[in-house]
Amino acid sequence: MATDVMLRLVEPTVGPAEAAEVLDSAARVFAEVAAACTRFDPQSPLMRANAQPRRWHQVPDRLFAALDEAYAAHLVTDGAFDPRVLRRLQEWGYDRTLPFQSGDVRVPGAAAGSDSRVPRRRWRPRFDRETGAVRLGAEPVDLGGIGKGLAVRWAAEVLAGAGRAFLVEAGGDLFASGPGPEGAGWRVAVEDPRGGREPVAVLRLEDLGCATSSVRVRHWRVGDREVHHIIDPRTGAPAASGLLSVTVVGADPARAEVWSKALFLAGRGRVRQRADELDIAALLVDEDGVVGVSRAMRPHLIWQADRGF
Amino acid sequence: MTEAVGRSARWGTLAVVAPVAAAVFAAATGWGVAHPPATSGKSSSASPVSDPPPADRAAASGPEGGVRLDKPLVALQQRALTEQARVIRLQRTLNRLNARTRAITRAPLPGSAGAASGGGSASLPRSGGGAVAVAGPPRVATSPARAAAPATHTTTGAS
Repeated sequence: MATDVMLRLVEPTVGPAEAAEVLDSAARVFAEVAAACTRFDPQSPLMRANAQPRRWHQVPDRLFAALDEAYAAHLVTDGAFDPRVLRRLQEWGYDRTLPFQSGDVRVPGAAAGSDSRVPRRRWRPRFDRETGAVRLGAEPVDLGGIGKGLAVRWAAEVLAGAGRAFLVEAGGDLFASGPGPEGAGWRVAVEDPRGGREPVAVLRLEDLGCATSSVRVRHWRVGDREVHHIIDPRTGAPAASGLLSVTVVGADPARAEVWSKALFLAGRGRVRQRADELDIAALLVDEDGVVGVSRAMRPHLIWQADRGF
Repeated sequence: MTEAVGRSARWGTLAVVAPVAAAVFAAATGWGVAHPPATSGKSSSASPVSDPPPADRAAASGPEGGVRLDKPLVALQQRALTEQARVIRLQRTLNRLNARTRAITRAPLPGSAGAASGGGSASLPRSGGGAVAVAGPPRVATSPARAAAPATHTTTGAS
């Protein structure tokens, strides 16, 4: 998991040694999830299963749980969240860790298929809960769209009860527990996906998760085409949604991450309507830099840049 | 839908300004066609378009070149240059109106609903014939000037 992780424990209710231990345990969650679920190591349990997706594979608990959650997300989003995008990502050049922080990433020789859609039939993995084995199906899968949120959730479970408040944050996905350091909630800035120094909004969260899907960092050039990592399973290509980012707030950071991607794919014209229909707290920034807020997000919004609709 | 307080009052103000502006535009158009500007340096707003060069205007307005050329062609050229000059003036006016609109949307709300908070918006520009075109509603939040973002504990963003 190529991302920085921040764990913050406010007013621990346990002794210093125990607080340090629980923080270490929470940090290990990220390492465990990364080791089991990464697609950048061909020997990871996920990639070994992906090498022969139609066969049964006994996998570590973290991977089993992650695949189980991914399947549930696939169902609850009616297929909008679809992990079967691994081949598409590889075809578009994201077959290894790319130096996104350098700002100008070019992938020569990537041959993005124009006829390589994700299969439209519903994904149907199989799980043997007694043996801990899984069968992925016909297509290999990528857990990049849910793995970080799951790690945040599981780390938060480790920290629960260890302090008056705590914050788990990994690459912009987070869980904010308790009233925060000052007792008035955790204040979370929503970054400007166009790279502006000011945030586009500030949220106040208490016992809530938050995740953002954005094309600000993970984008690169393939030939003369600018692409990004959010693959639309309907087309097999990077989503052309008219959006730059979607931020979702919810009780579960993993579901927040899932819905941030599913709503991103809904596109600029439908995203707010869809979020209102589903009563999802969402904030979006479109390609013109205009900020939109769903009805359910408004209670969490304490500041917004002067460019909304 | 995010609806900042006072948006309907401000659009009401622009709705009042727009017909007035349209009437002035219609009256000024004829004057503008007959009086192309001599220079292009008076606008206070940034404009990406420059005036046509003097040589073109001389050629458009002077009859000498037209003696040797096809008269309908000369007339069309003259009209094209005139229209071009008018577009330039309209663009400048649009820029000024947009700047005023932004100033209006940032101003505090008036005490009573429906009050014209933008007195400046009814005072139309007078350069180059005073042609006015009111832009469509800008896609920005019509809320009062915002305080700076509060200090935060963390960020969510690139993912």
